[in-house]
Amino acid sequence: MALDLIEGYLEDIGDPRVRRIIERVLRLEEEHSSYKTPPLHDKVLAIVREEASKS
Amino acid sequence: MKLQSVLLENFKQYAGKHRITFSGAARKNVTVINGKNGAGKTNLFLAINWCLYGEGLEGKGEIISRRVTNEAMDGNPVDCRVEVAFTHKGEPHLASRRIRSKGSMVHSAAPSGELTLTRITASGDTEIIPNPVGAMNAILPSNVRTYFLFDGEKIDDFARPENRREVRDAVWNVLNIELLERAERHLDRAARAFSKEMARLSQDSEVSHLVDEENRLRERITDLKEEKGKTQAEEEAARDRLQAIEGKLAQLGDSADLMLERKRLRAQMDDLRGQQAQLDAQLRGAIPDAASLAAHSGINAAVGVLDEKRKRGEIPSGIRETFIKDLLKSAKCICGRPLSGSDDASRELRERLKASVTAELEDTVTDIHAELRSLLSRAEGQRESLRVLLQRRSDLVDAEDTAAARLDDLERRLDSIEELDVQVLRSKQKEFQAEVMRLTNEIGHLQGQIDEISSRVDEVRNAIQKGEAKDEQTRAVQVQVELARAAAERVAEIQADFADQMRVRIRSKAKEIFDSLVWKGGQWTDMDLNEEYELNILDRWGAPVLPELSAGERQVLSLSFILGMAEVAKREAPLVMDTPFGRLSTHHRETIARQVPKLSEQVILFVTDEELHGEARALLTPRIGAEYELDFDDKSGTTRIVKED
Repeated sequence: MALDLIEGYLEDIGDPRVRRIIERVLRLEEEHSSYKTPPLHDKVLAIVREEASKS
Repeated sequence: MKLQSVLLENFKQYAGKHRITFSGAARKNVTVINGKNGAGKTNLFLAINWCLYGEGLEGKGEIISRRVTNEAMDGNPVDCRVEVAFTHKGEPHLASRRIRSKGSMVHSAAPSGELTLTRITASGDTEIIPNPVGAMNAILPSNVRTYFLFDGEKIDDFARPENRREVRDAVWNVLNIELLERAERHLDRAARAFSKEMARLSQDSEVSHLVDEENRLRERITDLKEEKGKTQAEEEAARDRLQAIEGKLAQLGDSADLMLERKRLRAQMDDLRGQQAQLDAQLRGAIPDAASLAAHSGINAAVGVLDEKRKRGEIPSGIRETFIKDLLKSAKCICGRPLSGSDDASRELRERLKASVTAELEDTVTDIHAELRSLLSRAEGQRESLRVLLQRRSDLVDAEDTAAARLDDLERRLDSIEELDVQVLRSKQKEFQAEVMRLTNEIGHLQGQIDEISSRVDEVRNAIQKGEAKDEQTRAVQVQVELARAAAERVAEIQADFADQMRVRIRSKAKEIFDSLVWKGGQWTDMDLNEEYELNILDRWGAPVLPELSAGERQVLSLSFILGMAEVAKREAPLVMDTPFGRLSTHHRETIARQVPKLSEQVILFVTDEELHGEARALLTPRIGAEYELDFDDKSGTTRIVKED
């Protein structure tokens, strides 16, 4: 799915940190074709930590 | 993705090098590859799949040209290669897969050959893409390509009653909804990891205990959802089997008419239940207003009392408090006579002052009276609407009871048919009906458990949030938990809503295409893709007719679905069809030849001379930009590709 298909949903998210987390995780998933747990899990944790620190 | 050319070298019967250049022109977007049966159309079609994905040749014999292998001097190595040139987002790409053999041994790093993928950048540089398989999947995923590169004779699978799962998977794959599911799972897992970290950091044993409990509950929800997913898959399989059995019963002489009537009655009952559900929603909406109905008698009595007071002239009282006060203050009557304060007139005025009311109170009483009257009139209107709604609901229940009684009678008549085949199928039908019901109940039970545990999770989460985070580090992790949790929940909501919106849009687009391709417009009134992802055609009575469609009609329905899906998903991919017209009647060949070039940017057709002729060919000719003939030489066992003018 191209992110533009769900762009409207993302725009509706009030908290910009939540929106950025979702956008970044979706891009990450798009780059990987399957659910590869360890490396992706660590990257998702890093994304959340980084966005949380921006508050 | 737009295909530019394919080069084959020593692939199957294509000994030596052969190239085909596909047409990509806007008005002449069709490439036709003609060949007799066995000339090599399917192998050429498979070569494109194999080059891009390394798949499709399993169990289909040797990949490398047998003739070239046999002719190789003293076991010299033979190279087999397929190259596909294409553009993606305007950038030229070249996919190349090769395999080498020496004697009878295949020498290659991977059994499916080695893929290299290069692209030419905007500045004109050639760049080798480091992870070609991943990059190819990003351009057109392997699980999606089958919806764009397909065997025309097999695509009717989508329109088989028992293949609902495939339709759902196709929508999921083409729209990449799985990506949202994966993102939710990762974010949920991240939230749980942060929760554990918070529990470890927290000195507050109660918070720590609550975090542990939340994690346990969430893990339980994940397990239950997984179990529910498996049960749903079982239920879908049982439903598909049931549909297939009912389809067979509908074709057996003795039961055919009864099954048709049964189908109509069931469709009618579904419709009545749908209407009831709508009416119930309207009734639920009317209930808040019904509070005024409950107070109807009280309001009526109050209006009566106020009306009585009006009649008696007590409302309005006639003399306002301020007027009497002004007279007493000025010590003069309106007729000019002085008021001493102790005379009879003054005493009379003081008595009247006691009986009078303030101007505000009097205005308020008058307003209340008007309000109560309006409320009374509204309540009476609502009582009437409610009565009408309840009457309609009662009529619907009666109609459903009548249909149910007729259905029971029909079931009895079906049971009384003595034909052995019918009895066996009826027995299986009942078995699967019971199985579907059991699994549906099981799904409901699992959902109930999920809802119950989810409520408990909310309570625990609230309790955690109330518990004070003791230090800065714990507070920071708490923010991480909350953000990951909020993101996971939002993604889950988006996924559910997005999937449903896309389903509705695909249905609408596919229906538009289907209407342009079929000729039974008067017989079929609608094309459906329901919430269960069942692709169906409805007749003029709203009954589904999928089991009765011919193979050709199913093929047209499947094609409409694929094209509708591609349009909604905005997938840039060519439509490559092997034997697309094989089972179609003249009318369908002609409508497809006329419409399909308009529905896809690039169309590549592998056809026999039997498939594409007459009016269908005449209709397609103005759109053909390139045409080839596959010429099989019986003596050498090889195929030559000849470009036609």
